[in-house]
Amino acid sequence: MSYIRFDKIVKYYGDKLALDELSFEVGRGQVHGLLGLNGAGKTTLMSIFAACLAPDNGEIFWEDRKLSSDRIFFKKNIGFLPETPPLYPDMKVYDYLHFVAELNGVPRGEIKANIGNAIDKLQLHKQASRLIGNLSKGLKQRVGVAQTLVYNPPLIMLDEPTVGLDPSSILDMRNLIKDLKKDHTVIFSSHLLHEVSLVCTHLSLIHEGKLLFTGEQEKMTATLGHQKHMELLIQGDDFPAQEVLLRDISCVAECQFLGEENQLGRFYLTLDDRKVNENEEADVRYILLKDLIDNGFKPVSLYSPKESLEKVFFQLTDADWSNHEENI
Amino acid sequence: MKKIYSIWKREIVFYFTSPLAYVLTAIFLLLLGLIFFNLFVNFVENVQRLNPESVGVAGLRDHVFTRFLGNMNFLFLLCAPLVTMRLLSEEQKQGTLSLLLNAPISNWQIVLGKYFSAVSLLGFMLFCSVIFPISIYLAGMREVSVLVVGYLGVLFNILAFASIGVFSSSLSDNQLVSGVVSMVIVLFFWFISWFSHSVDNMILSQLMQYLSVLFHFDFFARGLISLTSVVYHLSFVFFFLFLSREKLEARYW
Repeated sequence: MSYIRFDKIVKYYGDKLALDELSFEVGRGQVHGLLGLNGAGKTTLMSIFAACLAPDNGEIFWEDRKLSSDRIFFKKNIGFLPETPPLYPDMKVYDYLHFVAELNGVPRGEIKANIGNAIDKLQLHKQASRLIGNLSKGLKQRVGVAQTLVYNPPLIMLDEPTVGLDPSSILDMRNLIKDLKKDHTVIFSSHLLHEVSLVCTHLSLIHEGKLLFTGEQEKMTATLGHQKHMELLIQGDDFPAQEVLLRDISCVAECQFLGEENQLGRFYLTLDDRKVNENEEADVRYILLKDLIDNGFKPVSLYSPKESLEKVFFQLTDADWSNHEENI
Repeated sequence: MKKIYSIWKREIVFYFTSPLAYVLTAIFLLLLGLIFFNLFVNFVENVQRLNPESVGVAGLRDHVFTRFLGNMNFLFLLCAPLVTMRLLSEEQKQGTLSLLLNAPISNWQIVLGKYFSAVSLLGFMLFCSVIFPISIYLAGMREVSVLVVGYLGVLFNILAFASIGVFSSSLSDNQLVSGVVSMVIVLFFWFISWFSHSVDNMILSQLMQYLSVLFHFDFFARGLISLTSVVYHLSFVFFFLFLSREKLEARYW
């Protein structure tokens, strides 16, 4: 039985479809990233999971429990940090954590120890007696994460936890999420692809309310990215002419001559989508190599240039990669 | 109950660690003192001199205590929105409402925690004003039951005003808007009995009177506990707290 299962979640805001039959699973102990551009539906999905927003259709299962019939169970077991941390600026950090622990029903005798653990994990010792309103954004974010830990829920959910933080705080947050993995399942959303690639073991890519991919991160870059592009080294001469001939190979859609070195020509090949998809089971490299040899080429090396997660993301969402490349 | 207490405690600490409770109570007592002094001086200098029959307990009750209660009631009408307008509005504005909504507590618990905190502050202000009825008592009006029932009437009105305030603060994330809405609703229930006289339809006129807080307050001010008025106030409170709870619930849907 899966740990968490999202089953055909649908949500409308008026006429606008925000989530379109989203289904995926989150395993115990995963750091699962929800990846998508702003407005993709990540926050809506998290709010539904945190039992703060009702779905119009679909169900979320936590092992054998259903969200629709057990909202309190979901609330008790999820530590949720929304994009804007829910902090009272007039409260001291310790008092705030005490308040959150009380709200979440932590027995009186355990509150002190739980707060101590959260403060230890977030390294908030010096700030414990300070007013939240006087803390920096990075520290506030840490207090926000601490409030998800004081009642020790098995699942922590963080909505865009690195937004607006300085580089040092981002690094802290990244390490913290990795650290949380030891004791908790973590779901976190981000539109920063780099963050996801560094922190998550698994990810679900959401675009305009639809799920484009779910699974292990490496799989996404491997299955969806690598096989579409190849770099080829062939032995020979007159490489510009060979570039034209390479385009006639059946599974090659585009070919670009990159340069020559020691009588080896380097080419960048874009493979024909249909051919790649036809041969999902087989490695497309075998087919390409066979075609090259049959057509008289002398291939020396063929490999998939490592596609960045960013590039794959923009391929999948049909967004223009070149417009974003400089910004990432 | 523990979770209601946690929310209540958080609000009470806020009230008493900020200037709000002290400034509001000080202004309230200052105005009340001026009103009381004015009523008392007026009673001694004018009422007793011009109308010797009104001297004594009855005079003190009618010309000082009842009017004092009426004025205090009106001051609470002004203070209640100031106390309640931030309760849920502020939570919405600073994003902390999600903390309460994500916690394993019911919307009733959230509403009741907030409501009791507002009632506690307003009750504290009411308690601070007991110096005035004690003065009246020492001046010769020994009808303790009248004094107590009169104060009970004000307390019932505080309960009603606070419930309107909690509901209004659930409507907007802007405190000012919540305060104004609260004031308008309270004034509606205050003045509705005035307009009841100009309505020809008997049933409608009686209904308007029944809905008015002033109509029910009159009983208490005269030292009478009317079951109808108690039921009116309790159902009034329940109605507005129920609406507040529904407003929070609507965020889920």
